[in-house]
Amino acid sequence: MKRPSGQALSDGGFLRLAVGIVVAAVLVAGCSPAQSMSGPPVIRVLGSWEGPELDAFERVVAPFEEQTGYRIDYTSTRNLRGVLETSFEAGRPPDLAGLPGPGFMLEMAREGRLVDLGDVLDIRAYKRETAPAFVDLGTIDGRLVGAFIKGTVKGLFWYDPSVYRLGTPATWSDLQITAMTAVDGVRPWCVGLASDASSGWPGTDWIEDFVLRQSGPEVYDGWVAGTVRWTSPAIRKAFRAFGTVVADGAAAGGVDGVLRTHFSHAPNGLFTDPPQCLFVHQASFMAPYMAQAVGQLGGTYDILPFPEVDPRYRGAIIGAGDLVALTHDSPGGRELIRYLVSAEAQSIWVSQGGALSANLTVTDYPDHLSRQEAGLLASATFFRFDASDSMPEGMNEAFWQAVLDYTADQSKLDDILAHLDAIQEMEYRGS
Amino acid sequence: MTRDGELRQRLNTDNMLRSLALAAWLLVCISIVLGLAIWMARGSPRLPVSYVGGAMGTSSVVLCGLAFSTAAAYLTARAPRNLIGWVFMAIGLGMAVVLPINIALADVVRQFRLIDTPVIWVAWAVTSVQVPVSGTALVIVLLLFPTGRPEWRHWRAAMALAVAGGVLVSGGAALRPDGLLWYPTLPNPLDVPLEMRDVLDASVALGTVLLTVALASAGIWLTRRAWRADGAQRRQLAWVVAGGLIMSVTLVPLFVTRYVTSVDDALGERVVFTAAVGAIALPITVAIAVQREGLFGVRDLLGRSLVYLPLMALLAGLYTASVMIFQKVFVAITGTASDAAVVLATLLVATSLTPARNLLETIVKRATEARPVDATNVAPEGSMAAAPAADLEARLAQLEARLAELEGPSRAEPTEAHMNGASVRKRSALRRAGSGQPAALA
Repeated sequence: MKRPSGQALSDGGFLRLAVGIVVAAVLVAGCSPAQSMSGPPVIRVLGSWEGPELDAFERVVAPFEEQTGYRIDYTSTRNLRGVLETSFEAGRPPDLAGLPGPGFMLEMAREGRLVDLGDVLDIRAYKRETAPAFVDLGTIDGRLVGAFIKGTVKGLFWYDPSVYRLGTPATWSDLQITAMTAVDGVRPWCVGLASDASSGWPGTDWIEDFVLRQSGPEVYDGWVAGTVRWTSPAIRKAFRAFGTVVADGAAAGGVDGVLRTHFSHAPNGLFTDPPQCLFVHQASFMAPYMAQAVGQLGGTYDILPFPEVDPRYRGAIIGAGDLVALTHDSPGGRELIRYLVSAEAQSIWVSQGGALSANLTVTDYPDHLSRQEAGLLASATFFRFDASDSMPEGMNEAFWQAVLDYTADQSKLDDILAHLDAIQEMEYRGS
Repeated sequence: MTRDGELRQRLNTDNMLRSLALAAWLLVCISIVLGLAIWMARGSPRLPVSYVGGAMGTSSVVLCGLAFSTAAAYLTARAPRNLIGWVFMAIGLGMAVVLPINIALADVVRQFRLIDTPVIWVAWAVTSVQVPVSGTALVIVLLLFPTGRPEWRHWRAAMALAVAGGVLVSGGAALRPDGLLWYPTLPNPLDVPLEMRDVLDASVALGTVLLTVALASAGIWLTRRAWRADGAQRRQLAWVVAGGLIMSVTLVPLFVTRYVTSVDDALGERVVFTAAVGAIALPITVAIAVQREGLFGVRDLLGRSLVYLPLMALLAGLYTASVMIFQKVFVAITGTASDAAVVLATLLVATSLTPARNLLETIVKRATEARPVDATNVAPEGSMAAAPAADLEARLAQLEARLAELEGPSRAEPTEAHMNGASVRKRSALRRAGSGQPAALA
């Protein structure tokens, strides 16, 4: 019988209603996506890995799934920020999120959206074994909120040793001269700036390398912190140096080719017959993409470190890493993040090539390239994290766009930098 | 050994202690100024230390180091055997090493290789010892004021509470399982298993309570003493009670937010800055008590301290502010910082030195001439304690000898009126001491 509206509940009725609510709540909780009614419990992971990087991640988590019975539900997106925002607003954030960099992590942590990993990880072991730079970057207000699960060396020059045979140039000027004259008819650089929603980022790596090596770590740090203006001579100089790389006569395919080529296809020009270019500037994570290109086109590949620009900053290295954070405190998420930072998982990452372990006790690199990259990081006189990834997300995105605009028309540099100054003013306000 | 020999030996020891204090003060100044210069030349980056990593936190460390060591240098210059000066100096020295260590660690934690063990141990020592020991030392200062010897009959209980509190807080920080408290990036070389974290938290909370109780009881005792005293003694104590109160009100929140709970770095820095400003109230009020109320009979010496302490702070502030302003100007004009800002700021400070000193000397002269010295406070060299009855005769002899010295021809040609005034005041002091009148703190 339908209860008339407005009638007070009897004691028994109230009890029945309360029990009903509790039972319904239990059922709803039981049917939540993280704990599906049938099949293994699910851990939802959001990240930006795709292609060979995603394959590597799947191989890393395979033993975890087998041992624990959890299933990893991985979603890949290049719009991490947007997707994460939406999931938080909908009240269904993923258990784990791969964050694009410390800048975005800081924003998330300050909004209280990241779980303190001090209670999740074996924090003693993590701090003892992880690269200090990564522990520092993952720590906000004394709390560890982001854990690095692999590292990357930026600013490497990939080349085909059967084409380029002139050894390691000592300085940037030497490299430029060598690259221009080494092989007749072959352009020095292959550059691909396209990367879907984040197009432009490969150019930011070039500019960051120039800033650090031309103007030193203090300017670099000030630039990241928002105290060095984009219109300053140091940043302008770095843009101009990048301009010499993407100029029509220097890059394979000219400006149009640079803007249209996807970063993952940029290495192809090294292995065509005849080759289109001598060098590709990319990070160590490019190894699987290089292997892919070699698989299709043949050839071999090797790396050169970024040469010295100003002798005062010799040995400066820029690195980056893949950062994960617990965005929803669940038992599965806790177990997974514990596993990902473990030496076991790190060993699987590095065994596939293209990744360096954030855990410094893992040293069993599978090839000479990985060992060389790890050596570069360990011996760096100045190690700095990727600048754009450390900037506020809005600044980072404006930087990507600025790279595209500058490549398209180098005469607009003043306007581009002035616009970046305006964004800087806005993004760093109150930070 | 003859009496002359004893006095000579005592004088030599005192001089040696004074030189030691001066050297320690110089060391503090050099360490702080160099640290500050390096930090600013690097563009004042955020340092990898929680609560004191930014400009406000760094200023707190600098302020405490300079204030405590300067007050210590003046106190030990007059009374080298008094413990208070040395406690202040220890606090100043402790603060002076913080900035250079923070700067050195900033380089180390940004590497991609494991940190050398000695570096971690240095950071561990700072994180474990610095603040708890300083807090305990400040309670001890209240218990020792002004003679350098404990005079409260319950001082042992209060000191035991302070020491126990300091040890518990320090021990809790030293054994933390999740890394170093002040340097959260670094692992703790002496960490205990994570399961013991609750025990440590409880012991740190207990330590904070004990320190607070010790601080309160020392403060209450000092207040009662001031309440019951009269004349110069009351005024002397009133200054220090005020300083102790300001210090306590700001220090307890620091201990609570740092050791019992946790706040974000931005708020933490404000708490630290407030605590630093509060903590320096103690050396400042001790100096005021000494200067204005004639404690330790060091009017002239401390008159100079009142000139040089603010002068130093003024010039340090001027230097810091002008470097920042010049850097901003350079950034606005050229888009990047320049070393020329440091050069310009140095020139500005150099040209401001003499006018600022003259101005401060005038102000201090006006302020101090108004109040006559309390004759009972003119203590014999090397002693700040009120004279016990048994020593009265010896002290009278010393005072007479001093009077003769003051009135002798070697004195730098004082006017007759001044001499007479001094003699009358000092003789009256002798008479009061001899008649058994209570002496003010000396």
